[in-house]
Amino acid sequence: MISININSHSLGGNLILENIKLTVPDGKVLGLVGTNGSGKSTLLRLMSGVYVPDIGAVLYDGKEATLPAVREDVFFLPDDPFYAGQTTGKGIFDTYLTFYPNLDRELYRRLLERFKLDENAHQRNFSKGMRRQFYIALALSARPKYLLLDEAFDGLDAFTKKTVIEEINRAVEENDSTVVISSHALSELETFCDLYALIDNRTVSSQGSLEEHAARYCRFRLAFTEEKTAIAFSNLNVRDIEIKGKFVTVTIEGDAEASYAELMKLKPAVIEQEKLTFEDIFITDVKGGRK
Amino acid sequence: MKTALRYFRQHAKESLIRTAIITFICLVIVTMVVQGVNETYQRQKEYENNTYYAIYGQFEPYEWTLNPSLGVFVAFSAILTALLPMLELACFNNRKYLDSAFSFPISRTTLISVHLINGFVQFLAAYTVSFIWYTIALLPCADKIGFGALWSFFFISLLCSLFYYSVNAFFFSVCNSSVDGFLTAGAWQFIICVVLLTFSEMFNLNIDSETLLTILWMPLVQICEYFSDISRGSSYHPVPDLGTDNPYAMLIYMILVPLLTALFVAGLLWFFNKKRAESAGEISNTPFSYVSLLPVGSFLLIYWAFEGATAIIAIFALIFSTVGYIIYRRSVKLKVFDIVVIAACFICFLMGLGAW
Repeated sequence: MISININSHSLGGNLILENIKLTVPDGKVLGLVGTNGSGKSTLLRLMSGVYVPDIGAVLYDGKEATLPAVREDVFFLPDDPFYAGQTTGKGIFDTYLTFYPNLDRELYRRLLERFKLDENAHQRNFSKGMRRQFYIALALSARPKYLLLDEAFDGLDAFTKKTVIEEINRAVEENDSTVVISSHALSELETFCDLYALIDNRTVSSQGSLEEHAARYCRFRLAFTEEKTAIAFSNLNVRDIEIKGKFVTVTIEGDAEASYAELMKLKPAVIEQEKLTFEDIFITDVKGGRK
Repeated sequence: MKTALRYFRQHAKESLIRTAIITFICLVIVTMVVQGVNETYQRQKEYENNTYYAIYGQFEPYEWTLNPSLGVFVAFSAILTALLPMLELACFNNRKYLDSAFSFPISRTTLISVHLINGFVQFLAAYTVSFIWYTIALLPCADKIGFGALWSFFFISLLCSLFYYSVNAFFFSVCNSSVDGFLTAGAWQFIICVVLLTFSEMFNLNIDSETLLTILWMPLVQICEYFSDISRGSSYHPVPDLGTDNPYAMLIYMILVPLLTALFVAGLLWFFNKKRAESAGEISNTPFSYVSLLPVGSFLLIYWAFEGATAIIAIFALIFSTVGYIIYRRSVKLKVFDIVVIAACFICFLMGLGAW
């Protein structure tokens, strides 16, 4: 289990994260979401031991991430991993093998084959997406207990994203891995994350199960015979509203049936409920936080 | 420990080409130098066979000038002990590299130790191979050169090289960027010596400048001169006695140098463990870099310029240093620590003026 309790962490005198309290149970996949510069990458670096929190600690089964023995079970894949100009995939594999002696060479080869990558090719000749696939293959081959992926889908095409998700799911099943993954590809995260944590305003503004969180909101599209203003919806717990003349799209926090009944009192000509995606919820949350 | 050994093996393997190139360059230089030594020896032989004649009144002229040219190894030591720690430690100023390296299951002390040892092993390989080749190439003049003295020089110079290596590695590693590290390591080698000379003059400590230079700056040059002399035979040149000519010499070579080496290595490891990965590539905020270098440097320039009564140079130096400091800080606002350092230098400066 990963327990994060970071009171504060600053970069260059600027407070980046504060009051971060987060727990990731074993065998779960946590999606770390947030706007650009919200501190997702910083949090992952703190979790991997690259950064040491100013005040606070990150614990893996009760032991600090800064201990080398603890990091034997942790594999961190940064958003843009370092490679020297002349390095081939084989060279990188050999370097990682010195730190993770249990790297599964067969799995690594199988994944390279699946991603159609040549391990003897120079990394500098790889595209951004190819490099990302290579490092994901490397990370999964380590069969880590804890896998930390920063911007996991960055540079990947739709087809490859699907393949990567399949392989991550397989790793979770086979190794009972706990995965923390930060990404802006919310639709992808939605398909395989059990939990989410939203980083906003330097802290975790909301967290929990994706399904439960989605159930908190409902969205309706309405058409009226006359123009409406936001005041008409003031007795509802409105989180987001878009009014275009007689047409209204409203996101409400609360039970869908009760909200429907309440909206019907406004006598709309047409009303229909829309399914909310993770992206919609993310935008609603961030907008709510900003207000 | 197993991880450290595995990493050392892998890292050494990656550095093989670099080691081979450095060794090759050293071998080429040694070959050229020995060629000169052998030519002098040849002339001496021809003189002895009466092909050449001595200048009137001079005894065995070529034998006297036959110098084994140990200075080339002083140059190797000076260059390689500065270059190799920089090449080995530059990666720790790269944020991308640290993202991976600091997340690996290895302690920071072990990680940097592997790099430091690997760098010194590269030095050792190039230095030893070229010294072996050097002694082999000098075999034709074996009757004129003392090989025992040459090899004594080799082992003592290794000790000095380790000291230089640790000094350069320390000043390079405490900086956040490689450019800062390069300038800091280079500047401190010079400044430590000049600072002590200045204080010696200012406060009339009566320490002669040669002793200070020997202590801080040039132990390697000193032992080079000493062994060059004895290796070509004491009958032709007075041999300086390390024990009596310079009473500090034995203390320096046998106690102070290893002690300082240990101190610099311990300091390096301590600072590296405190290093913030997030500061890599940023302005070096260590008190060992520009924060102290520029004020101290400008103070020294002013002090020595005043001695020569060239106040205009001092003013230029002050302007230059201040502008340099502001460029480094990327701000005209100075922190409290900067002001304290400059104030301390100014007080020293006033005391220096008073001393005149």
